[in-house]
Amino acid sequence: MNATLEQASSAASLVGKIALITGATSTYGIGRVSARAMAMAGAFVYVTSRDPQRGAAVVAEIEADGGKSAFLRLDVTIEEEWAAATDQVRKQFGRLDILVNNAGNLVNGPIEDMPLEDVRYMVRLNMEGPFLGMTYAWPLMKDSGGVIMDINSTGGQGGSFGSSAYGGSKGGMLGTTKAAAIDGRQYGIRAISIHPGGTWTPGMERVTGLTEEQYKRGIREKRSIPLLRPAESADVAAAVVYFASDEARNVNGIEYNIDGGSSAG
Amino acid sequence: MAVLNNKVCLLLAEDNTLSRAVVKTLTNAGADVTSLAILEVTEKAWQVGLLDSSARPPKIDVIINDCIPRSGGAVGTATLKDYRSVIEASYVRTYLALKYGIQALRASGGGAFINVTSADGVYGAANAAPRCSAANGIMQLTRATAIECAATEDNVRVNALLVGDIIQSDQLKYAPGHVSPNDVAEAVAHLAADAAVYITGLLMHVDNGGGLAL
Repeated sequence: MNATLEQASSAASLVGKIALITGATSTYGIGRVSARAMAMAGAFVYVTSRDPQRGAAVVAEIEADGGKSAFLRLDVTIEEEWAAATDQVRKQFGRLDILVNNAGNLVNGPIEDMPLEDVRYMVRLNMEGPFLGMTYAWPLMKDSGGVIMDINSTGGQGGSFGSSAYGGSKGGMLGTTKAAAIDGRQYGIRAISIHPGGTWTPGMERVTGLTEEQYKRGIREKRSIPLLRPAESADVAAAVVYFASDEARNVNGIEYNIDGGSSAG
Repeated sequence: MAVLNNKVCLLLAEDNTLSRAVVKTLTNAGADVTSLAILEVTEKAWQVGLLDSSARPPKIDVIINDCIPRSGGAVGTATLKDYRSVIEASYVRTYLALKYGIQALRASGGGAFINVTSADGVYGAANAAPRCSAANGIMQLTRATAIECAATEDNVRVNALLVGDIIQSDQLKYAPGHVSPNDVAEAVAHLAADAAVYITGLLMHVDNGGGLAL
């Protein structure tokens, strides 16, 4: 069993809140499902990505669910695009309550074969992107508080084969999240680090080259996840909705694992 | 708010501000909550209490175990008797709660077991060596039990909340390390709900960033 979109959206109420989520247009990815769940929970959601066409489809999907959202073009590695996107938020609402740094990618391979350029790519995407997001969200959150959620990975907490560039960058991301949790205290800004383990997403499909059935069978045969099945995007979305809400107002700076027990043993 | 419609919850706790907040929050979310305080730390008491007693509900979806240890005193001051008494009342008691609790959940087709213990098990604290030991032990019991349950595919999830100092205050802003009974109760509801069906072996801090550097 995994969470459904409906269960994720009912994890808490986000009525009246303004959210921005990056990398939110992959078909069944964590970003898109989290965007839908937050909108169903009552938030206005800025869906962002590099792809306006798919962005329009996500906005239409959210509107069909009865939610409110708008698309903003945003390549998280480009500072000018953060400036432009957050300007839009400022003009429309004057504040931002929820930032979900979700955009990410993975390069994989043993360290002796890892090109430096790939390491730098991971730094730009997984570390600089969220850092810029926080920097530009900060002025929109300082007056009334807010929540920053960084979609990290179990790869940011422990090593696995071929994960030098990816795991290293996610470890760096975790350091930034923890620092933001401390720097944000005086403004009522919380920062939460969310760590999915093996999750069936379009990104996973691309990286592994497997079908969903093959991926699931591999987990079961290798017993690589204690629950013997992968997470799905809605499992992550449930956490995003909960931590975005006032119900988690005194939870800050934590690492929240969605890994079917992987980090427990 | 988490949705717990018709979930049968068993709260293993004595009456205190935390258990009252948990009952209120879970009930508001639609759950049916029974409180049970088993004080004796023996196999018999827990076997009867969780498996055989008519005092427990026939079907149980969620078990919440309040296992925040007493501080127990400073190393050098606390006696072995003090130490043993804290370990017995929290760590050993939790072992029994898990042992019979997961059987009760399995008999119901699966469910969620939530230990509510102290974040002092992670960070350490002054004048609380027995609490730090007991809480860290409970963290590892939680993980071990989660792994064992996952391996049997019994649909039993086992998680723990690591809570800060519980303060009842009218102030909206809490200091780092301080939380309200409601904060803990909301986190209990979060882990009890079906939205958290993939979450197991998790040790979740509810301590308002208490362990972070200043």
